[in-house]
Amino acid sequence: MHASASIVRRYAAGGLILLLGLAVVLEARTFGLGTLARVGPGLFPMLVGGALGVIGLLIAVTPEAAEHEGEGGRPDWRGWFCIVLGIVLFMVLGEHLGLGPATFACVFVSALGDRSGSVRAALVLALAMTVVAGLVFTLALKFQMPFWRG
Amino acid sequence: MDSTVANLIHGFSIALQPHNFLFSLVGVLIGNLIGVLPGMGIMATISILLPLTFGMPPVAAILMLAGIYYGAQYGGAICSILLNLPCHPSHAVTCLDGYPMTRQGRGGVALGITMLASFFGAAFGIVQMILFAPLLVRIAFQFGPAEISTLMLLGLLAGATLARGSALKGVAMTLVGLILGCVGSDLDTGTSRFTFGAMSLYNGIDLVAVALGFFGIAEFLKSINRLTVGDLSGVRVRMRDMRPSRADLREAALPILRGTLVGSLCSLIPGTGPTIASFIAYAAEKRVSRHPERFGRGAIGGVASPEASTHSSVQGDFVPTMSLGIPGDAVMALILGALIIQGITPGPQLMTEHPDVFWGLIASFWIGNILLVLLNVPLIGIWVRLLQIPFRFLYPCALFFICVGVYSTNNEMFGVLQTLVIGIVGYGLMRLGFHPAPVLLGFVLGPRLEENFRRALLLSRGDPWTFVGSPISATFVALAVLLVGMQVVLAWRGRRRSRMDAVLAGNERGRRMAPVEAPAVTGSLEV
Repeated sequence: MHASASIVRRYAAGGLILLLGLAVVLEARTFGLGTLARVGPGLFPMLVGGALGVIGLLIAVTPEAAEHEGEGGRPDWRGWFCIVLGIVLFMVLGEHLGLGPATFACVFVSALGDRSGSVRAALVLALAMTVVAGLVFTLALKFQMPFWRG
Repeated sequence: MDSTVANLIHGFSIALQPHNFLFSLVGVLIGNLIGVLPGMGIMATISILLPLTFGMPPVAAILMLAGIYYGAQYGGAICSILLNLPCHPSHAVTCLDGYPMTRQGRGGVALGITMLASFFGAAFGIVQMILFAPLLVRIAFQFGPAEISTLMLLGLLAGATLARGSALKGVAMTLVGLILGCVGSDLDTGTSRFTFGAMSLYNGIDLVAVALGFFGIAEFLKSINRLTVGDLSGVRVRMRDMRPSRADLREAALPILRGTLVGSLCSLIPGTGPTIASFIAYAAEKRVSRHPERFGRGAIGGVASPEASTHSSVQGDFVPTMSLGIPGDAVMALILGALIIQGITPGPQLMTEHPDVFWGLIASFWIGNILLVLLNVPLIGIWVRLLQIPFRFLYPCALFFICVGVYSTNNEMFGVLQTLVIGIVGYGLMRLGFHPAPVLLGFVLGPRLEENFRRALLLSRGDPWTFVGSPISATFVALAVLLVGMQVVLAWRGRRRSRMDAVLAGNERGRRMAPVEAPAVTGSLEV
């Protein structure tokens, strides 16, 4: 990996943890710290948040061995988009139309995220999973969500 | 000793009850299948099935989940040996000599030796659990809240610093897990913490949502369009190919023994799971071998030793989890979480209060491992065919199971949303070089750590020295300090490039296919 990119990432990682720690400390102070003999709900999270902040600082200033760097390469945006959309569709359709349409949409859309697959293969897979969902979850396991909300 | 035998007999009577036996069988079969399929992780599988176990009796649930864990170890080896794909990190080293053996037409023998080594390692690990766990329990009964807190601190630190990747980032992830565990209403006062007004968060974040977010969705976001299915043309494995010759057996005997010992030692150190055990076993085997030049070119010892080590460590990992309630790695944390959801408090009292769970589990280990060896031999043809199922068919189905599984835990969509958000955040963290396994450790142990921390201070009337007041807890604190000191010294010595990574770098193809689930590959242990 390029040296400067690695430094940017180091600061990003450390800064993120530092910010998270600070946010936790600020929020935890509002819970009530109590006394040492009667610890309130805020003390433990505040200690953890403080430790998180210190670790964040240390991450930002410690040069890292090359093998510790994260997964290289840019995210695969098409895959990303399809997976996230598939889950969102499951939530929306599951709430309004039922398990059947939700299953179909989730499997179909997320399968389209793969660059080597075809639309037809995704369609077949989605239909097959919908049948499985109907048989296994609705009929056999008496799943709470109706298969079709009429 | 007599009571141990009596307990074991009791355990077998539990494990052989028809429905317990059935769930154990289902568990090992699913595990084996998952181990074979490239791209499916153990963590994701166990968490998908977790909601299903909520309605089951605790014994059946735990037998099934444990079965998935050790069953997957048998399947993972097949993938490594025949395809050179380290689908599961604990079998990554098996590729080094297993795949050359396949190319020499000895893949069947490699699998046969693996089965033998696995069974031997597992058997040793189970015996270790039978002997060690009651001993640990006797010691653990003397622990008060201060001792438990410091022990948990030590366990969390070990899990964080010895796990894969940078030690600092591991600690950061553990702390994030502790914070996630704080979300919800405070047990003592009922104050709502980090809920930001969302009613659904009052009961805390679901274990299933955390596990499936980090190990399901985040992993799929990472591996989509990056996984390729291996080429199996020219690989033919039939049942009779798996029988090793007498010479093979003689060559494998000592490596199996040594690997087993390495694995059982590793399982006693919290934070060192099967992956580290297998790497150490391979490195040690190469060092003591009279023909180190054969390693990497199909040495039987290079397959036998790490496999035996993996299996003895997998079984041995249950010792601290079941006797102290301190999980060694993320999978154990998940199984512990399942116990907690079932209403069973993990810890030393588990063995006396729930002997059915403990001894039933041990008996099921014997039954499950024997079943796995018996099943794997005739089923090898089917597993080989399953190896070729492409990832593009697997992940959409897995996503569907994730959605359904999370929804069913509370019958509300909010859980799915939680999982999605955790998954996206988890992916971002992975890109920044954080590994998710310690999050789960922190998340599961967090509430119990806080509870004991507060109780210890209450008992000592607010004296923080209580944590180093007794010899036991002072020892734990000293060990924790030693651990941190060791990490600092290691970091001071400069950018060490661990040999383990060099080993993996030699495995070109293995590097290109990122292992889908990566609990614990050390970067800090010098192997």
